[in-house]
Amino acid sequence: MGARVEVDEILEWEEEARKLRRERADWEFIEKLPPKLKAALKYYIETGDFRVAQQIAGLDFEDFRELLRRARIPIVL
Amino acid sequence: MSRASREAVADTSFLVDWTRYSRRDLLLELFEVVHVPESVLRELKLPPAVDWVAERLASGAFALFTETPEIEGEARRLMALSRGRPLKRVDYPEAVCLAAGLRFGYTVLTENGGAYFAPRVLGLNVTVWRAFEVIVEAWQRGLVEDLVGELRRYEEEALHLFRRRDWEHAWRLTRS
Repeated sequence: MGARVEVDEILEWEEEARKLRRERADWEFIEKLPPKLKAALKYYIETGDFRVAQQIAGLDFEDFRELLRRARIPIVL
Repeated sequence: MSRASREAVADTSFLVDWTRYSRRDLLLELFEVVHVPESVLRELKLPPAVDWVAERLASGAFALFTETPEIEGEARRLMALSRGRPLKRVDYPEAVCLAAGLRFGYTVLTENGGAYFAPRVLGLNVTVWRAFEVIVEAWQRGLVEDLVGELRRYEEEALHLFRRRDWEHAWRLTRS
């Protein structure tokens, strides 16, 4: 029962966060980026997995966080 | 919200966003010391995070946390454990903070989803807080007057949004 509640909360959070990332993102900015960075941001918007997206971008943690800010993509948690 | 220790350990995701918040020094009023693992410090390289953390290390409000083989081993065990669960992966720097929280009873400060949900999904006896819990605690101790206004300020300054259920929790608190 408890585990089910946790899974439901995680799924609810992931769906809410994905929706907010899609809505708030500056898509015009994203589309103008080099392919690697564009792919990384699109991956992040869909999954919220910072570490994998950071690896796709080939950037350090803070550089990728700055890229998210420039693209107006929020962290949702 | 679970009870926090007087000592905390912070990961990169927490520090990078928290330092954007104009009332970031609230953290120093809630914890006697905030430990910063070496692996987290290595990831900080830009202002304002690197400047703020360096200043607080110099003042003694923060302390460098050296990762022992025991902590590294526990961190890797937690990472492996998270792979098989309905949970975002827990990666190395975040796992170190969880391991330190488990070993020493520190409150873990994070904005990483995997680390935030890890105690409940993996059954770990460790307290994990985000900025949300930190600001609520500051409000409960009278350090912040307007809880909703302060949470909004954090959202704007850090470009970080709280979940709907967190906002509902905050509204319930302010009405009770």
